Amino acid sequence: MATYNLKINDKDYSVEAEPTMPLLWVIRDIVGLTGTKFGCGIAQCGACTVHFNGNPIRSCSFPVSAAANQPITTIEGISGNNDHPVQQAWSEEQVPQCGYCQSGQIMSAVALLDKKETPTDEDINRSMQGNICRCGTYPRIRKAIHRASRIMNDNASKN
Amino acid sequence: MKAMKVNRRDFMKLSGMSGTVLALGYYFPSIAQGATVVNLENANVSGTLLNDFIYITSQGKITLVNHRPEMGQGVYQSMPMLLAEELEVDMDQVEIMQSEGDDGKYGHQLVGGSGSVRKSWEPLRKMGAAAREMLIQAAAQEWGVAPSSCYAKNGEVYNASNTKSLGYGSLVEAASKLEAPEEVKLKSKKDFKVLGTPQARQDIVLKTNGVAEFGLDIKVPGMLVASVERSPVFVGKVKSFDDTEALKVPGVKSVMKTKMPVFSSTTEGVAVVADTYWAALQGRKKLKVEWDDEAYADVSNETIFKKFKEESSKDGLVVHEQGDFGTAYESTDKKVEAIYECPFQAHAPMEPMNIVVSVTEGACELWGPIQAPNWMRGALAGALEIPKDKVTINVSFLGGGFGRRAFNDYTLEAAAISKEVGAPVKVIWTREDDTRQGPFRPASLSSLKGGLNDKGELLAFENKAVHQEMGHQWPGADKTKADDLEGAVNPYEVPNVTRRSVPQELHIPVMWWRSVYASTNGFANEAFMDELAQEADKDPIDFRLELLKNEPRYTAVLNKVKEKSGWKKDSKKGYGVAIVESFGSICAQAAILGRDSKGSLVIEKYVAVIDCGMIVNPDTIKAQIEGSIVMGLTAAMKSEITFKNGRAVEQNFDRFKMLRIHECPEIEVHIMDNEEAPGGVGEPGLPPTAPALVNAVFDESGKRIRKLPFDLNKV
Repeated sequence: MATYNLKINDKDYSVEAEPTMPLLWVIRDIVGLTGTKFGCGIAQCGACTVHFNGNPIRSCSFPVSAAANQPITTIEGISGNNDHPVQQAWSEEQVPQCGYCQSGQIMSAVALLDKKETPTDEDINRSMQGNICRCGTYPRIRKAIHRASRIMNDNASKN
Repeated sequence: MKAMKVNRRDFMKLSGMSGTVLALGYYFPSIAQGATVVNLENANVSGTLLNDFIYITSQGKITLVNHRPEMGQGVYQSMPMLLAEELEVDMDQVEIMQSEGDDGKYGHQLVGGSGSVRKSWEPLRKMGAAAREMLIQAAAQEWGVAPSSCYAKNGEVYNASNTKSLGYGSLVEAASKLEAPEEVKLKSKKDFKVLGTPQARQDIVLKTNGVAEFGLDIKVPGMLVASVERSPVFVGKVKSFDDTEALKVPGVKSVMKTKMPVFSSTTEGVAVVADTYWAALQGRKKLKVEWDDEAYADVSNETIFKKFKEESSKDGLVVHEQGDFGTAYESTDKKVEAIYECPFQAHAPMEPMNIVVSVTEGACELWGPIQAPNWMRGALAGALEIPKDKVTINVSFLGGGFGRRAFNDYTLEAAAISKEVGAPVKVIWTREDDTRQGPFRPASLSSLKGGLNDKGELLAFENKAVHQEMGHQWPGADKTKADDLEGAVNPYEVPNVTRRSVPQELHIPVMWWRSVYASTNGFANEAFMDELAQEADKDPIDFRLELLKNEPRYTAVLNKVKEKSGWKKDSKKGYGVAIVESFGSICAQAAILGRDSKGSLVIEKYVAVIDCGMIVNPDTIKAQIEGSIVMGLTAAMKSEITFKNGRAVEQNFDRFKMLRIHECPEIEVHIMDNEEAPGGVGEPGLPPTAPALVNAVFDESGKRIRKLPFDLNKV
């Protein structure tokens, strides 16, 4: 057991955990943020996606010992009021069905749009293929990413 | 009028309300038996539960209850929409609350068999209408006019002869003193304001910000967590286990043998119980378990399908018969025969199996993602030998169900663990547990025979399905009856038809998987119809239309899919069609294939048409069809559970492959508009997907695919 200082959604947490404990379980069971989900445990499904230093990682396969002192963002931290353009677009397109994979989908989509404000379908394929949706919301995910991009571009031109 | 009391938990749920509440209960099968006044400002509130679908406070706040588990199919919104339409309120005026599992209060609560709208269509509308009539009556009394000169709209009652109106909130106290009407008049479709409109689902916002609570997220005070090492061959026994190392893991509290009832068998295991999931999992990894599991070591995919093939020459059980297939077939000019094979499938919901159960002296409480609250409650009461009303069922959001979460195995296993440790226990399955323990969608070998005359008319048709019958797995099951009825019988007008089932027995547990036997029956039937059309030298749609000329609903759906897909207009593309009726609805799909720049086959588009009668939320229907197609394509091209040494080979998404976004085609959905009785929507979109695909592959390449899954890139 060791103590790790984690910076999650701009808050500081000091946690005691085994060095090999995946960040996913630290976030869910020690810090208590359950928006990030467990799907497979082997980085195949993307349900556990969080941002680490602004980059999407699969927290189920990321040991807590590697996560210290760098900014981590979870689904709870991408907006204060459900008003991130991706969340807005997700709602407008009615993307989620069961919703379980959607935190991971949104985190991957946010990371894509942070890097590329107007992604192509190819960009979407590349960035989103690590996120499985068993309910099959892929067509709506694609539409919502394009929609979020338009919202972000509109917001940018307004400012 | 009953005086009903509110218990602490429901009071907390209702605590956003104050003042007088008009609460309307539902006692299956009749409509509301009386309104109930609960004055929540009275501090002496305690006791039994409110059993209501509609709550209206004196401030006019309206809360509608969704009584069925929400697993993505949209009941969270569509059940309240059924109430709201007749209640004459806008969905924007409404808050939604999830009910607990209690069939005494809420009637039938199962989600499965695509039945929620079909079963609730009338009862919930009657509930809403009854409340509306009581509110109108209350307003009429206040104005001293006849109720017939009043009408309700947007949460207010209006006096038709002047501009006066009264909000529901101001009427609720008076309304609660009235007798609920025995007969109510329901609106006709042309007057619908809510039903048939695409309403935004209230649970969707919660699913975009991490707030929605799934089973895996539930925490109850004093809860321990368990991870169970179960027999990989399902029926294997625990010979012995060594928990010395497991018990040394910090956080691990105890280790014990477990039993999970699976139909007529028991799956044994060893549970590690700890204060956190991670500790339980680390403890489980350190277990040494000796299994007695040699019994089915020689069972493999090869042996299974070899046996199925041999068995296909048997007569089997008759599911449906018309005319005399044997004689007619012999006399036909053109005979076509084909064998179709479908593998076992796992449900693979994104949320792995999990449940929280707390067994105390004479009582039991459950929290989690379940599809069958009523069955679960009865099963727990039976297993624990306690009265049903001592079992409390709390239903969370489900991270997918697809039939898997309707089964009782995992909840009974968890209850036994909780009873032994004397604390609430959450059992979490790893993805490996979830994938390989089943129960599975049964594998199927279908033997099809068709006889045509020289005009290409279909005179004789036989479908013989060789697979496990789910119902035969129960103790004392009647094995003389076939169970695999979904999608078994075609609507085609063929004078001589025989549909048979040759039941097989394997140690592998099988159960409902989205669209159940329609997923395998539908594939075989519709792939074969295409082969018959080829033999008859007719276009696949024309061939089917001729056989459906006395079925106007099928004809309309097939013509619509022909029109909307631009059927065979582009000579460079491959087009395939399939039409299947299941769960009360008719769905046709056209798959359109092309080649990419590297020459590989790609699925460009799916066009789907569904006739599901009168509808609740068209956007939800489209979403369900889109999702069914993705799941159907996954089963057609990517995923299968294979067996070796009596156990499932695939354990996680590395080998049990899912369709991903880059492989998902464009999907277009059309909903037929009519006034037929509502049909199901959750499952009917899946059966046509695989046959439409293989039929399109044939159109494009001349190659027939008869075994799933197949690799599109290899065509």
